Amino acid sequence: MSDYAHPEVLVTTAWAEDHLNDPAVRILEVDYDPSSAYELGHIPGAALVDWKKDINHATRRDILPREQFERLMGRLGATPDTTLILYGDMRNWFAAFAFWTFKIYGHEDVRLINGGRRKWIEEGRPISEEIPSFSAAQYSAPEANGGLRSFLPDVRQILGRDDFRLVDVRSPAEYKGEIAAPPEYATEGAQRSGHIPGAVNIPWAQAILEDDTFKPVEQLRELYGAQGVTPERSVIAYCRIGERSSHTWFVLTYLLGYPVVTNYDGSWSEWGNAVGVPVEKEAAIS
Amino acid sequence: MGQRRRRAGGEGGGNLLSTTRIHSIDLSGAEDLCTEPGALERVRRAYAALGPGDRLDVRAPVAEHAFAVRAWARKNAIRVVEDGPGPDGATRLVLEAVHGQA
Repeated sequence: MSDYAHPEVLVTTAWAEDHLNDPAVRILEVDYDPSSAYELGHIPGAALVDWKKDINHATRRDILPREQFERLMGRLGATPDTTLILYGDMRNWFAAFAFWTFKIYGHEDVRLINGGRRKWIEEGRPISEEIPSFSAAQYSAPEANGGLRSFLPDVRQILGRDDFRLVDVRSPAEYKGEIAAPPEYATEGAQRSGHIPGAVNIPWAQAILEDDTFKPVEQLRELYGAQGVTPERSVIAYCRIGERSSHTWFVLTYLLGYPVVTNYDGSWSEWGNAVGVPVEKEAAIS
Repeated sequence: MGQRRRRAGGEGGGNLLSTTRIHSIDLSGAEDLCTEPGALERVRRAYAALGPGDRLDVRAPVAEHAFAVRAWARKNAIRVVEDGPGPDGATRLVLEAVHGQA
């Protein structure tokens, strides 16, 4: 891990186990479906962050507003100085999304468990069903950092520009337009299928190894560089709702150290439903 | 589709024979894509479709998924009649539906 641009944002499962009782550390399991994960057992002392309820705006489609973030941190007993260790279900996608939102609200020390829940369980590390409770804390967050996020007009504006790269991290079938509206995810459907013109397809999972840990830095550099996703360019990552792309955003920003990377969380569920935006359909490159 | 197998039925067996329907589900590749339900959700749905006495044979190559199936079965008082490595080394869990649904 030491060759990564910012190795301090990753911890091993062993490190996490060594810090289960560290008062400066708060371990958070970020789940899409807590009933299939956290509620069945979790890292001892880990608190649940429910992606749908805690990380999203209660009414409109948006990430949680600053006040909600402050309340969440307060409920978790976290202050701006707390080290937040994230992991979660679904291959750490939603933990990466939480990482991204916590960075938007300026939390300094956020880290991901490399390999996440899957590796923790694979290694036979301790599991608990106890729900921890914490003394409430006061948390004051700065204004959202807009530099980490792209919106639809931002993406429209850079279409065709060579100093930008759009990275579509969905599966080749989604990229090629074979899947528009997975029946399992009713709120994530799109009127049109395909991809944003000019986007290259580098599925998120190509950044990880069999055990869900991240590939070595050289392999990552080769993976993205081969498709013109280089640090000289600004990069916008997207998927369907922004969770897989936050995993890629994490890789490009923290493991490879690219200076300008944003996550377009509106992603295909916005672009594929928008009126008048261009759509491309072609064979996936990778 | 499930297979039908005849086995001794009822407490103590006796001469009665009942028919057990065995359904299979393979969790390999579950959660690789974001287009299918999660691994445990697939098991939940398959289990819910069982009739009383039917069995669900789950192949779970990923320890996280096997863990989830065991924990969910325990929480819902579902009988796990087999739990161990299958012929290919992947964990195999066989669940039996007593009342048909969890």
